[in-house]
Amino acid sequence: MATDNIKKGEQQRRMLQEYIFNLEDAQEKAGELAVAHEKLKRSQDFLTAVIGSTTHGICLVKNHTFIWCNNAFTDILGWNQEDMIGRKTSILFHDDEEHTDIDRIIYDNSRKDRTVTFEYDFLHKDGHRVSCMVKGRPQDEHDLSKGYVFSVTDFTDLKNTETALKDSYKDLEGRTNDLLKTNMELSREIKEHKKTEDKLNKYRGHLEELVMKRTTELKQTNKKLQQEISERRQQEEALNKLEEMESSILSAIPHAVIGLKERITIFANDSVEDVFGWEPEELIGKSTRTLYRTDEDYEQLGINLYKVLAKQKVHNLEVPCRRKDGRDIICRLNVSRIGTSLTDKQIVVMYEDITDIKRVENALRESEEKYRNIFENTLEGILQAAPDGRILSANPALVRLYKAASFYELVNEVKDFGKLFVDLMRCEEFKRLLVEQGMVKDFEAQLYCKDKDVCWVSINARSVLDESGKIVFYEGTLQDISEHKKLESQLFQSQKMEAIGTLAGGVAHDINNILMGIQGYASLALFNLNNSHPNYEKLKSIEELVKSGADLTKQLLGFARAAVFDVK
Amino acid sequence: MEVKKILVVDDETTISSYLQKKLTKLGYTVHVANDGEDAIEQSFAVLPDIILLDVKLPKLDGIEVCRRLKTDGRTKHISIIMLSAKAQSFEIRQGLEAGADKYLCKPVSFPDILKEIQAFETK
Repeated sequence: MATDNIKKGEQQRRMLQEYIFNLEDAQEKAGELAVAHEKLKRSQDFLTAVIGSTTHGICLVKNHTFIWCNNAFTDILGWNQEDMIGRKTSILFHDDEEHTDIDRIIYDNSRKDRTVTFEYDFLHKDGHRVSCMVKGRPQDEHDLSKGYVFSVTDFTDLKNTETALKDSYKDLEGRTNDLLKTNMELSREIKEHKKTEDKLNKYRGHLEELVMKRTTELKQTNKKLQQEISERRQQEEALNKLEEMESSILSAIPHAVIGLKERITIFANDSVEDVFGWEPEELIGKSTRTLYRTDEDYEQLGINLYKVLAKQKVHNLEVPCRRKDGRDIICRLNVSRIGTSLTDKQIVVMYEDITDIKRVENALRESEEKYRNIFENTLEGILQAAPDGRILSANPALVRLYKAASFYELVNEVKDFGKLFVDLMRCEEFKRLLVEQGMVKDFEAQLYCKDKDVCWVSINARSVLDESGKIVFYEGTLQDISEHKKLESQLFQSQKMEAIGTLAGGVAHDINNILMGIQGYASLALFNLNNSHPNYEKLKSIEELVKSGADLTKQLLGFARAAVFDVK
Repeated sequence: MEVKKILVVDDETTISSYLQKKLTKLGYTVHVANDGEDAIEQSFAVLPDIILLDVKLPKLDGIEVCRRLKTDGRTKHISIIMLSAKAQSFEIRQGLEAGADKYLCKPVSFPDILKEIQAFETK
């Protein structure tokens, strides 16, 4: 029983396995079918769209009856779909004969070759002919009873175009023939031309060579010209700059600058107005005679000037001139010859008004004379010395002071003025005062003269400074006060003597009084004494001594009186 | 392990032809044997990577086929999946003791069979 159940179970399982596999298979197939169905639907939709939109007419014919056709087919032939479907194909033909012909074409062809193609002018519903191209084939190759599918294309327009094309082709043919004729003629001409061309080419080659050569030459010439032009331009620029500079220079020069040619003014700077009172324009083109006082002056100047300029390039001289307002002035002329020779008498003259300068010069000269005289002739010594003591200048009085024979002897012997001081302390004092105060007044000192003589001098001196305050030199006057000093000492001496004398007198007088007193007392003492007294001799001696003393004082008094007048 | 060749052994042609069709579509090379002796012959000849082996077979049953193949040096490496309607536990034990690598009880859907084959591929 159990084994039967087991075996039954086995059997059932085997069957189930088969069922399962079959089911799976069926499911798979169903899936595939759905996919195929979907694809088919899509194809159908696509086909419907294509058939609906095509301009080719498509129809299905079975047993000479229209089973189906598209819109294009009915459009081409003028019918609508409802009328067409179910109708016989004979409606497209004029008569049965035509129909049979076409039939034969289709069925004959369909036996040999599956597809049939032919042209035919079908009958339109309106009665006119429609030229069509037809392509057809059996729906099923193996079963012709299923009918035929035809594709119809209206090529009426095409036909018309074909006819037109044929006509234009004929026309073209005609033209082509003409062209051929013309072509032959042209060929002949071309041949002739070719010959001429060859000749030309030969000459052209030659010409090209010449042209190239010429071009190269021209290029070179052009380059040279360009260079020249740029050089000239540079020169022009330089010239312009020079002219500008010249103009600036001329304007800047405060003196009149006149360019002459044959003694005629060709240019004048602005300063001619300052110097001569004439404006430059007034002078240009005119003779320079206007600038001078007289014809003689003018002529003489010309002769002298050009004689010199013939030999040398520059010359300067002082010449009296006359201004526009008639005032006479003195000018210094700086004349320069233009060029290496005096052709055209081309010169440039610079006129400097030196009238004032001359006046000043004269005044200066006069004053110089005056001061030179003073310098030379004064009795005081005038000295200029460098800070290091070198004598820069000394007047004759100073030379005499030093007792030298000449200025040169003085300068040669005295290398350092300071060393002439006898007392070096005094020299230091002198220098100190000059530096501190810048000057000394009535400075008395002893100086050595030539041959070691000594003289007393009184010095007034000052230090001369430059802009920076440094001492450049000393200058001063030296007065010989040796005599003065001698007199001074003599005076001093006599004064001293007088004083001594007065003193001596006074003393003598006082001593006299004292002596008188002593005499008195001595006399008194002697009055009542005889010579036997022990003090008698002593007192007598005292009297003698007093007398001596009195003589002495007398001498002294005498000396005192004399001392006042006796000055040695 | 790459599985390229499969030997399907079943006396039921519906089953073997179905399996052959499905497995061939998936790219496997499928051989079919309808009895035990043919199964052994083809195993030695083809040396498949996997054998789908039914138990109930004419001439030689699947258990014996499996035993012989698993003891022979040339074929013992071949993976054997037993596919049988016999579902008793002792029968299943028998099959596994014979050397089967896997024992499937019918009915089995094709996706499950494929899963088992692919399991051997990943091993």
